[in-house]
Amino acid sequence: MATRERRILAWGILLLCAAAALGVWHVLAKQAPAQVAAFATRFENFAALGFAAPEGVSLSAEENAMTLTWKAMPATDALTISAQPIPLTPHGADFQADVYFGGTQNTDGQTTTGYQIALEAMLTRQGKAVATARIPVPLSSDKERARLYSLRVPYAGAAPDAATLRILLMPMDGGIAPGTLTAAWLEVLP
Amino acid sequence: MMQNNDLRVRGDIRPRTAAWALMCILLTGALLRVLANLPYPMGMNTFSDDNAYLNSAAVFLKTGYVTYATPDAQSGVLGVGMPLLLGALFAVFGYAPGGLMLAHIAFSMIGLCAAYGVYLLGALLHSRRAGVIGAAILALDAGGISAGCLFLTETPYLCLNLFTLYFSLRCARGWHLPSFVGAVLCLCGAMAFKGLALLAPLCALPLLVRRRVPLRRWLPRVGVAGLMVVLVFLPWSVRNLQVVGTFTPFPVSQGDQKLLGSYVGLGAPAGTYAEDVAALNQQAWDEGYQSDVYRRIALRGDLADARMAQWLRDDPLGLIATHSFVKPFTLLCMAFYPQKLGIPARAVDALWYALLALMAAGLLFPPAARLWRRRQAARAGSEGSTAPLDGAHGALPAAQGAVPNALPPSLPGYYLPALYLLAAVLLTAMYVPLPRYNAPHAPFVFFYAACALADGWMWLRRRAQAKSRS
Repeated sequence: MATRERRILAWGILLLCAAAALGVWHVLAKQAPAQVAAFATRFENFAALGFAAPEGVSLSAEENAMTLTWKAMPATDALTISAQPIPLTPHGADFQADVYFGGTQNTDGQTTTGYQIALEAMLTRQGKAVATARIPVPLSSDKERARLYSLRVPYAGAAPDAATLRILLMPMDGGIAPGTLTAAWLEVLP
Repeated sequence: MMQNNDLRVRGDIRPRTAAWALMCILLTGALLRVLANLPYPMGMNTFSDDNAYLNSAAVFLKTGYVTYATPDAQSGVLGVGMPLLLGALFAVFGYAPGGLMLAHIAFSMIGLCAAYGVYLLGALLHSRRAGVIGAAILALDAGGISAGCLFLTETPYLCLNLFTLYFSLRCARGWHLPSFVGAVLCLCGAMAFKGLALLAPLCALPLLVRRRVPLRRWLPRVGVAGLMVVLVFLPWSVRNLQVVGTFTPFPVSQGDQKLLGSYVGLGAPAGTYAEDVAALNQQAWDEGYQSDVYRRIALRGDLADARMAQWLRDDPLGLIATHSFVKPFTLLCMAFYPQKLGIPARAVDALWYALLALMAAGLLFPPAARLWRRRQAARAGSEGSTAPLDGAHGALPAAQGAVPNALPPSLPGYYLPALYLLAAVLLTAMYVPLPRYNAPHAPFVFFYAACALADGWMWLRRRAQAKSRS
C-alpha cells in the first residue's frame, strides 16, 4: 500500500469515527423517554374523533382502530362516514393524513367489484373550505390485511385551522356488496 | 468499463461491442420493469414482508424510528437497510399512490443494476461475452423482474452482495484501492439487509492464499475493512442494544426461521410448526409476556435448538443428509417468482432448471477442457497441438502470447463465486428452504450459465472455423 493510499484510508477511518460518534449521539437522543413517548402516542384517537356512520353501516371505534361493517344494500349515492373537525397548527404548505386500511377485498389490482371506498379530507379556515382532496382506497388483500394510504392536501394562501376526514362508501352497479373496513393508526401531519 | 486484464480471451467481443450490448440490455430491462409496474397504481403488494417494509419506511421517514409490525413500536426484527433505502425513495417520490408507483419503479431498477454486476464478474473471471450473456439473463429474468417490483430485501441485497464479491475478487487478484473501498461500501450496504453478506469477502481469501500473498500484506487491509464495517454499524448496534437489549447489527428474528426449519427433512422430529407455535403462544398468554416479541422469538429459537438436538440423537444421518444435501438442493431448485407477470410459473421454473443445468456445464467445462487439452498435448507430443482452443478456458495468458503447445491456464478466481454459492446455500438452507431465500443466489447461477453459453458458442465457432480450414 502506498503512503498516499494509507493517508486516504486514515482520513476515511477518521471521518467514519466522527460519523459513528454523531450517529451514536443521535441514537441515544432518539431513545430519550420523552421522545419515545411522543413517537408512540402521535396517532389520532378514533374514538374521540366522533366518526358517525349512516344507516346500514355499523361502526365500532377504539383508540387506534375503527371498524365499519355493512350488509348488501341497494344504493345509488355514496354513504359518508364523517368525523369531527381536527384542529390544526399548520407549519407547511401541505396537510397529510396517513391511515392503514384493511378489509374485505374488492379489487385484484385491475378491476374493482362490489363497492368503492375513498378517503377524503377537507381543510377549513374559520369554517370555510380552503382545500379538499380525495384518494381511492382499493382493498386488494385476500386476507384483509391493512396497508398504508396517504392523503396529501396542498393548500395555498391562508393556512387552514381544521381538517375534516370522511370515508366514502360508493355503490357499484346500483348497490353495495357486503363488506368490512378497518381503519387504524391515523396520523395527521399538518 | 473494467475488463479482464489477465487473460486475452481469443474470440471475445470487443469492449465497445460489449458496451453497446450492455446498454441495449439495460434499456430493455428498464422498459420491462416499468411495464411490469404500470398495471399496479399503488405498486405491487403481496401484503407480506413487503407491506411491512413499506410501512416501516414511511414511519422511519416521518419519525426517524424503525418499526415493523405496528407503527407505534420500535422493532429489532429487521435490518436498517430497508427503512433507509425505502425512506430515501419516499423522501424523493412520497408514498401517496402516484409517488408509490415511482418508488416501486426506482426500486426495481436497483435489481437491474445487478445485471451490470454480472457483466463485471463475467468480464473479470471469464470473458466479456459471458458477462454480456449473464447480464442479459438477469435483466430479462421474469422471476427477477417480479421480485424487483416488490419491496423486498432480496433485490438490494443481491445487487450489493454481487458487487461486494466482484470488488473483493478484484482486490484479491491485485491490490486496487478503489476496489477495496467499493468492496467495503458494498459490504456495509449488503449487511444492512442481510448478515449473510459477510460471506462474500471471505470467499476472496482462497485467491490470496493461492497467490501466496503474505499474511502481513493482506491482514492489515482486512483489519481496516473490519474496522470500517464496525464503525458504520456502531450507531445501529447501539440502537439495537437500547431497543432489544442486544448489541448487534443484525436482526434478532432467527428463532422463528430456525423453528420452521426443524420440521423439514429426513427423520425430522414429530410435530407441526402450527401446533408448537400455538402452544408457545398459549404459554406466553398464560405467563403474561404476550407482548414481549423478543422473548417469544427467543423461546421459538430454544425450541428449535431442542428439536435439532433430538433430531441429532434420533437420526443423525437424516440430519446430516438433510442439511448437507436435501435442503440445499431443494433451495437451489426453487425459482422465486412472487407476482405473476403474464408468464406461467411453470415456464419460469423450467427456465430456472435449464439455467441450473447450464450452470453445471459452466462449472464442469474448465476441468473438462483442461483434461482434453492435456490429452491432445500428450498425443501431439513435442510436435505441438494445432487443435482449436476451447472457450475461455483454452485462452492463453497475454504474457505468454499464443504459444501453441501451452496447456490452457486456469482462470484465477473462476470457482470462487461457486464457493460463495455453495456456502451461502448451505447456510441459508439451515433454515427452511423457501423460494425467496434463493433469490440472492440467482446472479451466480446466471454467471455460470452465461460462461457455459459463451464457451459453447466459442467452441462451435472454432469447430466451424477448423472445418472450413480443412
